[in-house]
Amino acid sequence: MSQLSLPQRRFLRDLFSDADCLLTPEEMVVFEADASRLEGTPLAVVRPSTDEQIIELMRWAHKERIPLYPRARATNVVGLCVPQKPGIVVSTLKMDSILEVDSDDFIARVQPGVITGDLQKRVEQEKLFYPPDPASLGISTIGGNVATCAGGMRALKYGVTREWVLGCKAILPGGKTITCGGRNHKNVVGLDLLRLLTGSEGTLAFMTEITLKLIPKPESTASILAGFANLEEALHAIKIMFKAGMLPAALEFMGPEVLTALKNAGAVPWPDTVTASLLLRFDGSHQALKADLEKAEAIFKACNVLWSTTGMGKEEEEALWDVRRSINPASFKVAPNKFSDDVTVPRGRLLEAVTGIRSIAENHSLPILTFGHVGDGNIHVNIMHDASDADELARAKKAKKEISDFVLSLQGTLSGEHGVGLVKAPYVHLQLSETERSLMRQIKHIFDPHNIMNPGKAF
Amino acid sequence: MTQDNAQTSTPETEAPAKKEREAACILCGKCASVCPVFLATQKEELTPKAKQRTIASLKENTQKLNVTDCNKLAEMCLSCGKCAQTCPQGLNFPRQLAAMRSAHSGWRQWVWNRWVNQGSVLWPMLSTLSKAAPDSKGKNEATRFVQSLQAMHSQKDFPTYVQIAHYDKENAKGQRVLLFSGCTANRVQKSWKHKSETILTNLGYELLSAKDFTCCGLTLDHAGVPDAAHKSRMQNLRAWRAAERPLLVTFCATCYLGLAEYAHDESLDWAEGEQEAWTNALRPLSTLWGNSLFTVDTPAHLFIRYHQPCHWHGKDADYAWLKEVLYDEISAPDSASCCGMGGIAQLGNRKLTRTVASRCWENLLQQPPKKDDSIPCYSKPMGNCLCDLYDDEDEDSLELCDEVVPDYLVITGCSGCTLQLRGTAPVHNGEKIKVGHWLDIIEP
Repeated sequence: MSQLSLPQRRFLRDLFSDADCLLTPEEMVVFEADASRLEGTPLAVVRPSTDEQIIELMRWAHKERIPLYPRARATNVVGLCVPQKPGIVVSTLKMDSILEVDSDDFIARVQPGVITGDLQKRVEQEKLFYPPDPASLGISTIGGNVATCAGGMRALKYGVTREWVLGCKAILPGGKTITCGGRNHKNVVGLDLLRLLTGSEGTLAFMTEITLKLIPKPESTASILAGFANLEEALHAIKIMFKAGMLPAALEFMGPEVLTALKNAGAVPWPDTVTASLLLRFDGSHQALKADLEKAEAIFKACNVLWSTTGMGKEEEEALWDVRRSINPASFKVAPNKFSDDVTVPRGRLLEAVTGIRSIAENHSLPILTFGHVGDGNIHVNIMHDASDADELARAKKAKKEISDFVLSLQGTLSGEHGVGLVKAPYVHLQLSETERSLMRQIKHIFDPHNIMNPGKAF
Repeated sequence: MTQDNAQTSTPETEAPAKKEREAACILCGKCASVCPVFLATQKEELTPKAKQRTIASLKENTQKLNVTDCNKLAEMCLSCGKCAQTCPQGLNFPRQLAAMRSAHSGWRQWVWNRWVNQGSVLWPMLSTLSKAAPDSKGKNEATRFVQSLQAMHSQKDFPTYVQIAHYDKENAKGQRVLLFSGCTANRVQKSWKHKSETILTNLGYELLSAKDFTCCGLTLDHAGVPDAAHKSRMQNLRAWRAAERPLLVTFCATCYLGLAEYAHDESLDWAEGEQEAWTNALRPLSTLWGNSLFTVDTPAHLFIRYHQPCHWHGKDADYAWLKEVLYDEISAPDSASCCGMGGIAQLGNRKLTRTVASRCWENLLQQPPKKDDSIPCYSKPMGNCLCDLYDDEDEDSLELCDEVVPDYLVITGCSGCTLQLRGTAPVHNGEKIKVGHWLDIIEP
């Protein structure tokens, strides 16, 4: 199908207002792509604001066999929102209400288009806390976070999005509505459809309402940024810290190539002798934080730290975390294109993984940036290259495949948080057996017999 | 000779490739979270990243640009510059758009007609534009519009809550100063200019005649009439030079930004070291108070809300100073939101600028939490507020206090924002909410 028929266009125009039904290529240009910068063909873009509109759309698309592509802020980097097979993009941005924050039940009930950072601010007014914090939290949505089971820096202590979803309302292709889970913090009745939908990358159903778990907000936070002479010493320091019984809320690692990229993009606070850097955040009461910082500093000192700085409370910490936030923009100054992977290995094999990935980079003469949430074994691997150079592109692809094989040989996983989308779909068979994938396809078929929900993604 | 050529051409031929690499939009979506047009509409097709994709396709096909509707070019952006501040790739959409506008064949005629007929909040800048008007019908018409705008904005009964108890003359040391008042203060709000002059004189500065200054040029530049903007800049630069490069003081965020950008404009005939001298000479008025002392007298039931002008780009000297003087009496919304003034967008899509303004007002009229605790008991003892029956720390008392409806006063530090907010102010407690420049609440 290359375009919608007249009756199809009429159906959409009747269901949605003019402002929320885009049909001209000029208006739809941004909906062709997402942050992966892969491109597809939107046949139309619609912006539902009610459940009824979605029910009717799902009923119709199911009957007409037209692919639907749920989309919020489109910040994912694996092509999850790209309408690779021409279809209709369904923007959730008009469904952006926080329906309820209940400080007795410790839950928040939200629509999918709510910005994660906005929800956090809102619940924090009531001294509550929603911990998942993907790097994009200020610009990405709860709907997107749940669909991708987004992780983030605090996953080390608090786990990923999955751990915080208590319930959802979802609409199936064909128009039936299901309710999974609810407001209970414990619930073991039936198969866990909620877990199935969380992280399903929009391939099973369309979520219209999500109930999230909240906890009391920690009193404050404190951070420490530390530089080491080499990778081994930095990763050794982490090991010692865990053994000493400390569990930071977040623990970020930046490898030698990242530090060089940051230095080239602007000033960095540490001396040139530093080639690996750790950034930690603790949360808790003021007194506990003071003690935590002292303990961490002592451990680092014993592990030959070359340089370190600390910050107590949000304002002081900002400058430290700005460094971490500048990695993505700085990376594009290294080379125009990147394959951005977020492989994860068992926590104990981190050093082995980072060292191995770097030697693959060396073999292919490519700059590969390694950084990430090392506390939970999650390493962001950016394979930087210039896609207009055929040879470089081929080498980058080869390196990507080698890294995948290598990570799996360490009992790791191809993606800790970015998801599969289009970008990793060709590699899924490396991790999942045919039996497992066939089971997944059968489950997908039960939810979506005509394969209209975000086809071609995930598995 | 040939060698010379080779040497000069090398960096130039390398430059575009490097520039291209830096200038590609990576669709990260950061711009969406700050763009007032997107935030007010939730339309992803109006985000700067969407516009980047659109202009990339227009660039490939310049013919297409000529047939692109002028309306479309005008309504795309409010020129607040927030996306440029946040873009990791350093892309500046307002600037790119201005260049596209000026390249459009029918743009100038269109802009003039619309400015005259619809752009009331832009009228103060009209007489400068009139010099670049496509035909001779400029000047008189411009004067007429400005007069009608003056009538619309005479807010004589503005309460002056801040008195100056002591002027700190230590900093001035008799330094010479030129006051850059800007189009709005020169033509519509002369009281701002007079108050600023009094303040500067009382602070011990030697005030020079600023009659040769014209529009800062920023609005004209965003409007896609770069020659008019350039002329204005040259005239202002010459006036500053003629006065022997004194301090250059302004009280408007947009003028400040407009003037600050001169230093990056290589088309001006800068002498050696002059750009730096210009940057060093430029000061917001609110940074000159030193240790002056103020007396503040505000009614307790009043919320003074501060509107953050986008053009300060986050470094707002005015609010920092106002906070020092007014403490908790003044507050700003958690997230700064654009008033929708939008310069040239006023000419293309008034509805859009109104939508953005409504969102701004929603944020401004949220009750700041802090003052909520203390006001009602003291302000309206006659009302049905029962707070005084309760302990200060009793939580229930807060809820009872909600019965008292506060008044709002909105102040800001930008001429354009003031006009736009005045034009869109909603009615509260049966009265249109008052909007002013911070100079309006000061009695110098």
